[in-house]
Amino acid sequence: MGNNAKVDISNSRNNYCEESDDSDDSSWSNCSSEVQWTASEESSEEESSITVEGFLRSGELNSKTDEIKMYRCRDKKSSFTARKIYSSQSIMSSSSELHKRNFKSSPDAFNENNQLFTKQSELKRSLLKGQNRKLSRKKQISYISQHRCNQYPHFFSINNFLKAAIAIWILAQLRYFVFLRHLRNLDDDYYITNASHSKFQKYLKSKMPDLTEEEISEIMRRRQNAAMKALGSGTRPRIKRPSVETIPKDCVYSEWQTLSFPNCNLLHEYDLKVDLGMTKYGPKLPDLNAENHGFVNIPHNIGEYSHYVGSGLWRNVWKVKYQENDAKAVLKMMKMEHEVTPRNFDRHRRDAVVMERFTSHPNVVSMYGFCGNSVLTEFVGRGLDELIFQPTASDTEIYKRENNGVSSLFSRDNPKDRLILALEVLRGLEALHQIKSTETPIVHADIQAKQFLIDEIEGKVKINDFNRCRFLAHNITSKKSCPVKIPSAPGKQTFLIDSQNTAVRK
Amino acid sequence: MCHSKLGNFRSPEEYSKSSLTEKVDIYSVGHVLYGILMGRNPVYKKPGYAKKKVSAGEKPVVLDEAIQGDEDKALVSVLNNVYDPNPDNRYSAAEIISKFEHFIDKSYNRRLRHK
Repeated sequence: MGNNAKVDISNSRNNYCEESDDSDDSSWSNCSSEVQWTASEESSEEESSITVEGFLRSGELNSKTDEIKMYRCRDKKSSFTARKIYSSQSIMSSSSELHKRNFKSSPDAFNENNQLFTKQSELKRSLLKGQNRKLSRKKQISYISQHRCNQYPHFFSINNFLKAAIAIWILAQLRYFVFLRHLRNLDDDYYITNASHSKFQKYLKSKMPDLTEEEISEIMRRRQNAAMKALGSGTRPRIKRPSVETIPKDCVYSEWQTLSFPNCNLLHEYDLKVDLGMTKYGPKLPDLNAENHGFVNIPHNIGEYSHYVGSGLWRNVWKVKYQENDAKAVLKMMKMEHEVTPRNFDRHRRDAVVMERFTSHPNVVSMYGFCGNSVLTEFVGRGLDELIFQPTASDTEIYKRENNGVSSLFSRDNPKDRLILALEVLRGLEALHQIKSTETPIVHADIQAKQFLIDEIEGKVKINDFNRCRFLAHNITSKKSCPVKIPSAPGKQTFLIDSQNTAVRK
Repeated sequence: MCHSKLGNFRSPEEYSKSSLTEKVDIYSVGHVLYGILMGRNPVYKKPGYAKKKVSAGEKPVVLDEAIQGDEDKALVSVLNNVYDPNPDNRYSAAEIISKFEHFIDKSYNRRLRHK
């Protein structure tokens, strides 16, 4: 029995305790009070048969077991006080007394030893009660009162309880705020701006049951457009209240003015700049075969070479080339930052209809293909603005060099040339204003020098870019054209065709 | 949706937001003819200046030194008409063309007509 105990104790000593006689506090580290206690006892056991177990069983040393427990509790919190107690000289001296004695198993010796141990325990208790000079009494008392012999003493301490309460309170406050914010946002603005598309759709249906599915899908499409636009470059103000551009009474549009003639089977809504990494001087456009570009009735394989020419407000302009007959063409596609709205669609439809109408006319740019917001037109050299707003001699020389020494057919160097140029400019406009099929003219409404293109091969000046053009309606009775108002403010628009692509007369 | 500004090349009736006919193009093409004659656009110093001037009925100034021949004089006479604030007084495109062609017929004996 005694041997077993001895082995256990020595093991614990070797593993966990550092013995040191140094009285300095800092030299004691990680040495638990339990091991300390047993260590001081173990050294005396070599010569005796008395074991720790024996002491504990005797029942006369209850105070000692209490002390051990107390040390355990205390030590979990901090080894600070324990260190102080053990480093005090009094304990060391009393344990050295134990060293010197021979323990025997006789009852007298037992009593004697008993007294010795009680003496030692009293010593320790007195130290605990604040006689240690380095700990103030107040501190020790509070310390002892805090640390009852629970398994997790500090977990249930008042401090921790307070901390937990505060944390819970803060969390509750946070939850409160979050919840309030949520409540606050549950209005229209929340659903319009922040909610997901599906949520917004449900909300729409619940709020406005009168809406047809088409209208809902239209709204959803706009919303998605707006979301996509936010990913792109910048934002622009949205259409809020679409209103209709009215025309006077008894005025109607001709049928051809309200139709569109798309001749490709796919909508071209990709951005070459983004999708293919094209820049003005960037990589060449890869082959766009039939499946990709979708134009029918024109030679496929748009791009062996092509490059970005420039952009208007609405569309990017690409110079492309057919592989088959080596002709140059211009591909205009709407910028990705713009929404696909009926207004845009109608704008580009008008552009295509005018060009389709005047394909045979030499002074109007002719069109090869059109669908959606994209159009493929003929490529005409340069703009009139380049000719007339670059009066320096070096510019004309540069032009001569670039064109194999052939000087331009048009110039504004002498009065005669100027008159011819003015005449050519007006011929395209005359064509727009005097359509033979109907009485009503087409208003270009965006005449500038850059809208006229100079075709050096044919010797013509061609009018271009009919995005802003208006078809004038005609009065049924008087057969005269009705004037039109072109709103500059956003949102006011004329829809000549509705979403089903059928003609609507307003 | 883009709020497109009207810019410097619009007609007075468009600046005053009244109803438009095809004569707005005639006014605007006047700027192109002016550019052909002068080599530059009409000068408006500030951004809102064009609207003020055009709405007040002022015509862009053609400098005398720019007028070099009879052709230029014909151009200037057309310009004066084209810059009329009243759209009904302006020539139509066909009328301007006939005027030019008449001038060419008269002075060059139809040599330029079929160029």
